[in-house]
Amino acid sequence: MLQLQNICKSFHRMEVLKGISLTVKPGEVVAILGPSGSGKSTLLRCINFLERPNHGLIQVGDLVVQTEKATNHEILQLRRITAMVFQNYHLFKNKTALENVMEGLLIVKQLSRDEAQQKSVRLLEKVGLAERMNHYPSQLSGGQQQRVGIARALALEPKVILFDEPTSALDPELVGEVLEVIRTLAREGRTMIVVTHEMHFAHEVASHVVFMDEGRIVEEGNASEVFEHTRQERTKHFLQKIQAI
Amino acid sequence: MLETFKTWMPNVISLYPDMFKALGETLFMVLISGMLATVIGVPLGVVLAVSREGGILANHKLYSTLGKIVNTLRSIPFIILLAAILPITRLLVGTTIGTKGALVPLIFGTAPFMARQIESALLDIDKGVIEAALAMGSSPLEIVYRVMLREGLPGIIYALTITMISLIGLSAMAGTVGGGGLGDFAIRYGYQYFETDVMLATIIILLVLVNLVQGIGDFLLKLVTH
Repeated sequence: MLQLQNICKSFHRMEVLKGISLTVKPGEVVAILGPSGSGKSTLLRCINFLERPNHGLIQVGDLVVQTEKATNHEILQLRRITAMVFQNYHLFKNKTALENVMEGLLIVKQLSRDEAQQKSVRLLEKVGLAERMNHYPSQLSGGQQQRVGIARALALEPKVILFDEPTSALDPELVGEVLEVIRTLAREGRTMIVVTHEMHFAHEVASHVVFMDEGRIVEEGNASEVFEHTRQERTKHFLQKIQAI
Repeated sequence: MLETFKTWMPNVISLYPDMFKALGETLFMVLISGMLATVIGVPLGVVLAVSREGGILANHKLYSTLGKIVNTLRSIPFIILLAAILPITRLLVGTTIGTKGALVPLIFGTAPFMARQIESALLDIDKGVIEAALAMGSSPLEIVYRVMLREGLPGIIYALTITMISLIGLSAMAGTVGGGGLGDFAIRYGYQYFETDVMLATIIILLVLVNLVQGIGDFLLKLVTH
C-alpha cells in the first residue's frame, strides 16, 4: 500500500532523516515511536510533502513519486490519496464542523453541495458528533475538534491516513474518545500510520511498530516483537524510561 | 435649545448649508477612494502574503519588487505625495483640483497602507490551517479563496476599518489643496476667519464619523468571528 525508500531530509545542515525505508501493507496500523527530535513527525510530513524530502522514493498505491524531481501535479495527487490528522487539529475556525468535513469533498472530490453534505453528516455520525455538526471549532472541546479532524481526513477516502501525535495536545480525560475512534478505524482495516506517545495504545492497536531515533529506524516488527522481545539496547532504554513514568 | 446654539455657535448657523456640502464632499472622497483602494490594496496584500518567504507561492523576486514599490509610496508623507503625483492625477482624472483631483492621491496614499495591513492580517492566520488545506490537496488558488480570505476575514475587516479611518484623516488634508470637504471647511472658516465654533463643529462631525466607521467595523468583526 505504501512504500518509502531511502527518504532523506535535512533542514539547512541538520540531517533529520537519514535514509528511511518502510513498507506498509494494506490494512496495517503502523505506530511510530521514538524520543522527541528523532524525526518521526518529519517522516510523516514528508509522506505528503508538507516537508519536501531531499531524496528518496514514495509509493502510495499505484503512484510512485521520485522525491527529488516531484512535479506539482504529483505532489497534489499524493496529497489527495493520503490524509493527515494534526496534533493541534488545525480545523478551519470560520467553518462549522460540517463545513470542515465538506471542504475536501467540495474542492478535491468536486461533489455537489448536497452530496458532500450527506456524506459529511454520515462521517460526523461515525465519530459521534452528528448533533454538533453546526458548531464552530471554538465551541467544541479538544477531543471533539480532533474527531472532526479525523472525519475530515476520512472524507477524502485516503489510501493511508497519517496521524501526527493525534492526542498529544489533549487533556488526559479527552484522549480516550479520540483513541476510541482510531481503534474503530483500525478494526475496519484502514491503513494508518500513527506517530504517538501512547504506548498502551500502540501495543494494543498497532500491527507494526517502528522505533526511530536520530533520523533512523532502530527497530521494527509487530507489537510483541518490539515491546516484549526488544532486541536493540536503544529501544529498551526508551521503553524503560517511558514505563517508569 | 436653539437659543443656546445661536449664542455659542453663531457662525455654524449661518454656514450650515456649506457645512453639509463639505460633509458630502468628504463622504464622496472617503467612499470612492476607499473602494478603489480596497480593490487595489486587498489583491496586492494577498499577493504579498502568498509570495513572501514561506508563503504558499513563495517568489522572492515578486515579493521584493512589490514590497519596494509599497514601501516607497508609504515613505512619502501624504502632503508631499499630493503635490508629487500631480501629473499622474491630471492624466487619470483630467484635473488636479476639486474632490475628483483629490481621489488619485488618496488612492495612492491608501492602497499601499491597506496592502501591508492585509498582508499582516493574512500572516496572522494559523499556518497549520493552511497546511491542513495543503494536505487535503487544495491548489494554491483554492487556498487563497477558501482558506486565507475566509480564515483571515476578521483580520481583513479590522484592516479595512483602520484604513477607512486613516482615510478620513487624509481626506481632510487633501481638502486643503483644493479638494473641498470638511478639512478645507474647518481650515478656511475655523482657522483663517477665527470662527472657532466652526472648527469645533467640524471636529464633532469628524468624531461622529470616525466612531461610526469604527462601530460598523466592530459590528462586522463580531459577526464573522467564531
